[in-house]
Amino acid sequence: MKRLMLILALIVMSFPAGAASVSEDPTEPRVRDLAVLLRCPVCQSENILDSHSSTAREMLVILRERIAEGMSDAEIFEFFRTRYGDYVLLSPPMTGPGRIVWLVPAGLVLLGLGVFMLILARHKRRAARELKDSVLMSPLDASGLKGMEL
Amino acid sequence: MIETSIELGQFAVSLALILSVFGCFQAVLAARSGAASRLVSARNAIFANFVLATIGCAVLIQAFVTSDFSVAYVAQNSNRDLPMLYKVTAMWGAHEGSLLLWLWYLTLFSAAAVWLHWRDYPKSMPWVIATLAAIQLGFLAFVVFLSNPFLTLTPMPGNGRDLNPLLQDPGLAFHPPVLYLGYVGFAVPFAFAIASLIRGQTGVEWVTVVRRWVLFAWTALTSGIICGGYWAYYELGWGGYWAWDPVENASLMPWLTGTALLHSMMVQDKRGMFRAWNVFLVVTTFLLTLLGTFLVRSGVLTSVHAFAVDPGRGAYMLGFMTVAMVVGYGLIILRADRLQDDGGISSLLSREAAILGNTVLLLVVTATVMAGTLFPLVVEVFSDAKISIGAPYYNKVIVPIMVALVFLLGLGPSVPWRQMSAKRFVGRFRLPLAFAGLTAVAAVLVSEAGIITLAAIFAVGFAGFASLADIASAIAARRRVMEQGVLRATGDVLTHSRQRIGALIIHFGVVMIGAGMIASGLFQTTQTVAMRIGDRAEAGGYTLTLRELQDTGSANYNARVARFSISRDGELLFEMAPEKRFYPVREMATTEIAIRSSLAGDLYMVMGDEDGQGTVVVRIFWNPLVNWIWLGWLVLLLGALLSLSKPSRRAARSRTPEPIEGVPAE
Amino acid sequence: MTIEVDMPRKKGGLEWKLPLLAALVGLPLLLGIGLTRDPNRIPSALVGKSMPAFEIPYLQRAGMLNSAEHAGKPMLLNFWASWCTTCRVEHPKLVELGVRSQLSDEFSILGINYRDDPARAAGFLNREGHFGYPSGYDERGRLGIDFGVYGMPETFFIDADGVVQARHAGPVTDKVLAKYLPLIGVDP
Repeated sequence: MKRLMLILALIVMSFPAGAASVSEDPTEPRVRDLAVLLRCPVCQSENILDSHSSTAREMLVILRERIAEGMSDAEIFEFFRTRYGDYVLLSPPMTGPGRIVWLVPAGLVLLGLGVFMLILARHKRRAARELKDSVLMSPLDASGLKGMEL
Repeated sequence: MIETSIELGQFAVSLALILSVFGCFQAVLAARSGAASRLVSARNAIFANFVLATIGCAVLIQAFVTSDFSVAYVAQNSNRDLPMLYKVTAMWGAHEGSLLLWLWYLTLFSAAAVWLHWRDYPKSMPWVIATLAAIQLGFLAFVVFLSNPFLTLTPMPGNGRDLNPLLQDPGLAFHPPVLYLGYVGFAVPFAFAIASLIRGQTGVEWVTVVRRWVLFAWTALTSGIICGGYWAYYELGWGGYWAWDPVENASLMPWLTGTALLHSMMVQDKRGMFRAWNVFLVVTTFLLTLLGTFLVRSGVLTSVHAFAVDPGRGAYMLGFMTVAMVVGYGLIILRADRLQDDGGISSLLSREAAILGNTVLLLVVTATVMAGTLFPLVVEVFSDAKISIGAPYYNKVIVPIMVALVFLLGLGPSVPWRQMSAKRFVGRFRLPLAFAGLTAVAAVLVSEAGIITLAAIFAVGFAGFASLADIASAIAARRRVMEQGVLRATGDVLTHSRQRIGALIIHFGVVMIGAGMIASGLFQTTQTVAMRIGDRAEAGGYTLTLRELQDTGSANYNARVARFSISRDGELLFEMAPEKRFYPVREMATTEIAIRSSLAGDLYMVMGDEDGQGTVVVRIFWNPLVNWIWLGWLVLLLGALLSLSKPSRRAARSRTPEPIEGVPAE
Repeated sequence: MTIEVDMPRKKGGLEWKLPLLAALVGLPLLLGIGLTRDPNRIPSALVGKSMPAFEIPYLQRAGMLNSAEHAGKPMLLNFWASWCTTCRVEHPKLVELGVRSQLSDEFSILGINYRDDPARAAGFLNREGHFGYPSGYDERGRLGIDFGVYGMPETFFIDADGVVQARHAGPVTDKVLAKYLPLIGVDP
């Protein structure tokens, strides 16, 4: 009898617990990373992860299926791009008319840097000129001038 | 003649429109002829318009409070069951009403500007009044002819359509009113700058007069933007607060140029330099506030924020903006020859150079944001293709420049005017740099931060330390000089160096906001899990256990709630209950996010779908340091109030130095 | 009392005046053109490409609707739903097209019931009138996504070779037909 009880107890204890410690599916981070780069075509100002629309939810399901099939990131973007065009990509693609968009900020920074340095140079030139003018106009003797840095 | 109160409102704005034309004419004539009587009547028109606009707003709010559905605007945006707070805030919840609010602010600030500066700047007054009256005219014509909130509806419906559920939130009470304070606040500096340009004098006057206006408008705009971010954060459920949506960008751009203006004005005030920059910045800032209005209401770009699409209104706004552009930039071009600098930048290591760098960087960011916002339109116009520029682009591109700006924020206040030797430079910044280095190293050891993230942490550490060190050294200097105790010295410094200390406190607030954004943006953890009752998940060091799923509801919605117990190390700490709601009248569903805030960060939970068999999908976020953003804003506000409390100097060309500031003279 | 300053004059500055003028002209122009466009309109990525082949269940009969069975002729593919109020506007025109398709055999026309409840869809047809042609049932909107559908209703114009020539988002009207039917070789 005791042995029977022990065996029963062992069997019962081997059942999985009803409540579990859950963590997310290991593919979820990738789903998220890709989903935030895809625009919801219906609500148009949100990505498919944040959007509540049914189209976005279905696109998320499709995204998960494509990941499960083993598609690469580029292939997945191409998948949605053939259906909705470039518009569905929230980060403009590196081909087509959108390319320039990536060069604009760098160009602006360079432009800003150039403007800054130009203005500084101009001010320094003017300051040197004014100093020279003011020195020439003030009654300093030549020996004093020699010692000065102009 | 006027039978109902709503007709009174209609009459009030129509009269205001006529008075704005009248006031503008009188002011221009007064400027030409010097006739004081004309100027007085122009001034009276400005005062009268404030009264009339107040009547208009009061009438509309009353219509909401009494649920007067004979007014079309009320019928579209309110409902008998709407809580009173939302009935009132619904007044500015849609296009026509929000425009009326904008207009009321404009008349308020116009009247205040005229009243405050009437005696001190008589030569500028005519053109200031003319400009303000012209702006009022533009908005009044818009309201009366294209966006009239006083239109009536016959037959009167029994009940209204209800306010958009997303707007049934205390956020609506704060975000638009505060934001518009900022937008409209820049109209006064704009008017003074225009007056100064027209008069061909770009002397010390206008920047000194409007210092506090600019600071006030900038603070209000900052607050409005942060308030909007906070609202989006706890309302929309994607765990963030800024989406680079076109309308958000439209509020950011005047903030960026306004920040540049705020700093660059100092240089014109102190050394008579950057005059051309400053008129350009103030005109651009004002134009950008108009652009924002245009983008929201015209339907040129899609946005979650957009009011109903109406190209007719858009065309008007565009016309108005174009006129303002032509006048503003045209005057700058015409008067370019008088915008010369009194002095020059003598050294790279100088306050002037730092502020110039600040202006350039901020303009680069503004141009980038504008390019990103408008580029899809350009592509569409020229090639009929449609591309998308969204958050991922902006985050990649803007963040590095912002990092440079934060670093500059730490440098600037400590660099003296005119010049600084390299040796002193290194000496002054040795400690902050060391501190920054330590924090960056700590970040590397604790996480896998990328190079941009590390640069950001370095910049924030540097700027935070430098700002606090500056305040501390000001107090220490005063102690030394006046031989006082710490408390006394602190009190004196706060009283006598309000502008400088206020600025340092604002800077520190900005650094806190920056730290909060970096941490919550780059170190956020998020997970999407399917849970059954009894299941546990981990986030931010806490254990979250799902206790129950139940149905609940209220007067105008039904809801489904997921209740969680949160514990740490086995000890039960608190509960959280995200829910999903359905509003039957508008047939809209919303999610109510559960947030638990602490200094270390936020636990943030969004309820997702259920499968009908006891499993619910939950999105769980841990947002580290996100509350430093809102706290940093409070610090910023305190600093701004301190600086604002210092009265404006009269615009005499005084060369006497400020009272002891704690920065040893170079 | 304010002290007035008389500024000395300076010429030039074209390097910033010119860009400012350009912005002055360019920006309003751009935004003005933008006003004339619909920001919500997305051009179809399928135009010029072969129509995606599909096989989905019929809405109101047994079996599968196979796109291949309707190849070889110009085709109109209309996405509709009972919850779409604008669909009622175009409904009579579609019924008319269905009759014409049956009589003349110039083209085929198919409906796709998108993300709908079959009972509600049936109620819609009972109320508004039945199409003379079958509709497929796209329960979850998968087919819609394959076609790049972003709103309701949408109609695709496909030529006899199976190439998508046009996509119209919105109700089908005489004007729309006059514009797009010739593209697939059908007289409007």
